[in-house]
Amino acid sequence: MLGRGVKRKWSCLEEELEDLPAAPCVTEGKPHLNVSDGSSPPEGPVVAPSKSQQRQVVLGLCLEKLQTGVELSLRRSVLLINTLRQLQEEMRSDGEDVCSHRESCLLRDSMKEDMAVTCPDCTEEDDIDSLLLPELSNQEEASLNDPKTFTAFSDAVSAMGYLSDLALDDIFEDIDTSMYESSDLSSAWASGVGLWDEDVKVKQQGALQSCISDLNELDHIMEILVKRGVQTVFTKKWT
Amino acid sequence: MVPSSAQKVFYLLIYFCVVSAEAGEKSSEMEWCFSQVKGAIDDEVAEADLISAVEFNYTGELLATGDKGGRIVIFQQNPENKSQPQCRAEYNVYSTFQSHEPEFDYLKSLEIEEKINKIRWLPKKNAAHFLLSTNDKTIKLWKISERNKRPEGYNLRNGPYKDFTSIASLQVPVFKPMDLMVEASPRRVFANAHKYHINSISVNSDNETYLSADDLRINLWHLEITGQSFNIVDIKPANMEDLTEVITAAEFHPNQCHTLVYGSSKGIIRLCDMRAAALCDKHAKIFEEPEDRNSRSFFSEIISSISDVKFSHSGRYMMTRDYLSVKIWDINMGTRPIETFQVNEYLRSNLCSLYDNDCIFDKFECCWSGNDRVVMTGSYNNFFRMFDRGFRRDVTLEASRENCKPQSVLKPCKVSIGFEISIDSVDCNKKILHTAWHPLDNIIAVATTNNLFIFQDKLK
Repeated sequence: MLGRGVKRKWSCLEEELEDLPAAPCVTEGKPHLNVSDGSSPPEGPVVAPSKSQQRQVVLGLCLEKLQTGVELSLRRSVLLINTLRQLQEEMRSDGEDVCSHRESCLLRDSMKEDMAVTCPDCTEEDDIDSLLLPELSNQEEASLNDPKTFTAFSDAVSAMGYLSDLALDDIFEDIDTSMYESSDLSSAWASGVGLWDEDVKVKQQGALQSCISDLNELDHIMEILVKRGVQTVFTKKWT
Repeated sequence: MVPSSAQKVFYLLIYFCVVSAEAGEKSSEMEWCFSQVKGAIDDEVAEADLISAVEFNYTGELLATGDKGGRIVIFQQNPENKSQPQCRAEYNVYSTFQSHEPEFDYLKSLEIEEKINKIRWLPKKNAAHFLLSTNDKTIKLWKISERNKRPEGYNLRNGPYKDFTSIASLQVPVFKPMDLMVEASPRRVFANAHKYHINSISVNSDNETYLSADDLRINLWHLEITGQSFNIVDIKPANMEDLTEVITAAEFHPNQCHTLVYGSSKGIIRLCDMRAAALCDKHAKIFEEPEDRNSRSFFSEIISSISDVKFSHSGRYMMTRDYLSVKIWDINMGTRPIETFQVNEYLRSNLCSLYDNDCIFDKFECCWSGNDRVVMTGSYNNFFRMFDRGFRRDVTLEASRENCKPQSVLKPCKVSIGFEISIDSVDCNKKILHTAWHPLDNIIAVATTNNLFIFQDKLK
């Protein structure tokens, strides 16, 4: 597992792809266009990996990108999120168990963060329900069959500083959200930077300690759930 | 750097094909000659020197480039050589100025890049030249004027003030010639109208208004009025969670002052008529090609994202660029394009890697030739492609410092795909995003990372 925040180089990706039956980027089979110089197609049949494996790779990439480059451009973020949605849809329709709830959280949270980065004024119009993961004890997570995806997920979770078991709604209720700076969110949370109102800061720092221990618990619970392969149930409705 | 074996094979392939192309018939009607290259020679590219915009003016006499450092450099066609066919594409620096400065939005804790996103010239009305330049947030109208005369012979002044008691007679100051001085001054600053990043500006054919488009909105400005703009398109959803599509490019029709088009990240182009309503959220016409179910992949939407939209000079056609192709549309028919040109289909098998290194999000521009017969766009490896609509031919050329002998004819490169082209052979750092074609002549400007290449066609 790569260290947190380390961007995987393309060569790492290539190795990863080689671990799969075949690189997902190769087209299904035939070389297409004749060439006058008489070069011959590669030896051997091209074996396409399973759709599911391809999906997992792309899913992992998607999440990684959403983590690292949210402030790059709105267009990029929207395209990434749409790809993620499409993957979710496909996984769901294929009947694959998917941690769709967590993905949705990440999806919505990244979306909100993106919106905040490019247009903090929007946050005045929308309620910030961000960073919400419903109480783990109440929810049943779906399985992530591929350990690599699980790794990407847990990386994403820890990197973004997601906090479980917190009614963050209450904390954010009276915040002046025009000051909200999401690209520094994780560092802000980690360091308790004073972008927040005074009363929130106090609550936040206390909450931070419990969140860190919760994260460790989170990893543990995730592992259990993956083994069990439990279906996702939405327990919290987004307002 | 030692090329990998895949790279060696790739280049070997190109070499053989070039040789056979020379022996065989010409693959394009036009032959292109190198004319000039502008910019630093060394490989160490300063980030601020990355060219981010290239635009000829309406007569082709001036060529403006914008860079990531917020500077604009304007080149002027050498007037002495204009009439000489062999060296008519000689452009010299005319003016250099800092258009935009980096800003910091303290309220939102965001840095606003000074990178010039677009340059658009205004039609010439008097002796001075006007252009609009924009970064992510602010558009500026610049006046570029020449000064080659200066008044001399003041009575009271000759530099410092004279002692008026010493003046015995009066003289009338006269204009005396001086060395040509080109001044650029900002005449208007159109600011604070865009919450999102501006991706396009387009001057209207009425010569009074222009549009500016960001990810979610298009605003209409009057060139004289900086204090307000009209919002004409707004695709921001009430709930930002529902956002699935952004505006990627917009342009006014060249002749109809009420018509504009904008392309989106979903590969859809919408044509709006400003006469229909004040807010043109409802499009008058939609241009969307039905998706090919066979080639659908995870990246289908990303590669269908429109990176540029350009009307033909006639106004009858419209060209769109997505990641792998260039499409020509008849503006009367929105069901499918009338022509589709594959720019770099060999990238389709490497989309995953291009997605990983973020190159799949690159926005390539495209342009029409003056007579609308040929279209041009850039690609990776410093290749640029031209598609001749009349002769149904296409050619791939390379802008590289190796082909820099004056008047040397560019040899077409043939990128044949007999087997998979590995991602190793695609140099994503050498990309040609910006190209421009002289409106009245076959002179083209092609921008690599930090160099501007100027080519002219070989007149026979």
